[in-house]
Amino acid sequence: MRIESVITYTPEENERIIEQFRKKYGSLTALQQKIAMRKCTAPEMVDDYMVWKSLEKKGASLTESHIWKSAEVMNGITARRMELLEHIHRKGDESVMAISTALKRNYKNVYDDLLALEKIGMISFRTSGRKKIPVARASRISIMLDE
Amino acid sequence: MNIRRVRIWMHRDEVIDAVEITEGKRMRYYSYTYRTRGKNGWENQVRWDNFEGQPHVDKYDSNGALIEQKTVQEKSLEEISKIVAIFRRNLVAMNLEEL
Repeated sequence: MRIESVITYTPEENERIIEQFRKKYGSLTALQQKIAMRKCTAPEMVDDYMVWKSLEKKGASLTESHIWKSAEVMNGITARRMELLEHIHRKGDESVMAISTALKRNYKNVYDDLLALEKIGMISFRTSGRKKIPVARASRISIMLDE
Repeated sequence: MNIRRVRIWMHRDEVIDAVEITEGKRMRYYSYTYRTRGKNGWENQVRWDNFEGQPHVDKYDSNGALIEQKTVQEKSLEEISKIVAIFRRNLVAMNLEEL
């Protein structure tokens, strides 16, 4: 069995990713210099550099997938969590409080469910001021039984 | 230019993080990093990549320090996924040039 979630980023989202790189490293040249000094001890920087450099090219497209090779991940998926994931994907950019209100659910239960979804890679959090905004990391989830 | 980032969950505490950058059918860059979840979050164990056109494999210790680097043939994500599925945590102690 193989379960795969895929998200394809829009050009606007690609821009947001570039902006995050800029905040983290300053400029592409600055990052290149950091890599020259310590590429083997900071391999994530090499990946960020290559992704950033490629994203700067016209027409670049970015997709992100999570693949689970065992059915264990299903333990982290419940009907309520799927409803939550669908809501985040559809609405985007809402705080945990706003999501709780919209779904008429208890804040703590929603937050716990979000942490469970984060643990299996289906969402991540981005910070906006002091708020944590959940971001869906899947626009499609497929289950393949023949792999 | 197509950029593909993939996380393959081999187990709850073991993943392969992959980055593949292709232009047409040509693979411009790849990196496949086998990571395990430790007390400091995800820790690099073994990494295959072709940065600057030089396919190689790196091994890391529990502090994230590079302990070994060897030149190897280019690998695909499918190959790495099979290798990791078979050897998992034993990879760090193995001679990876032979695989």
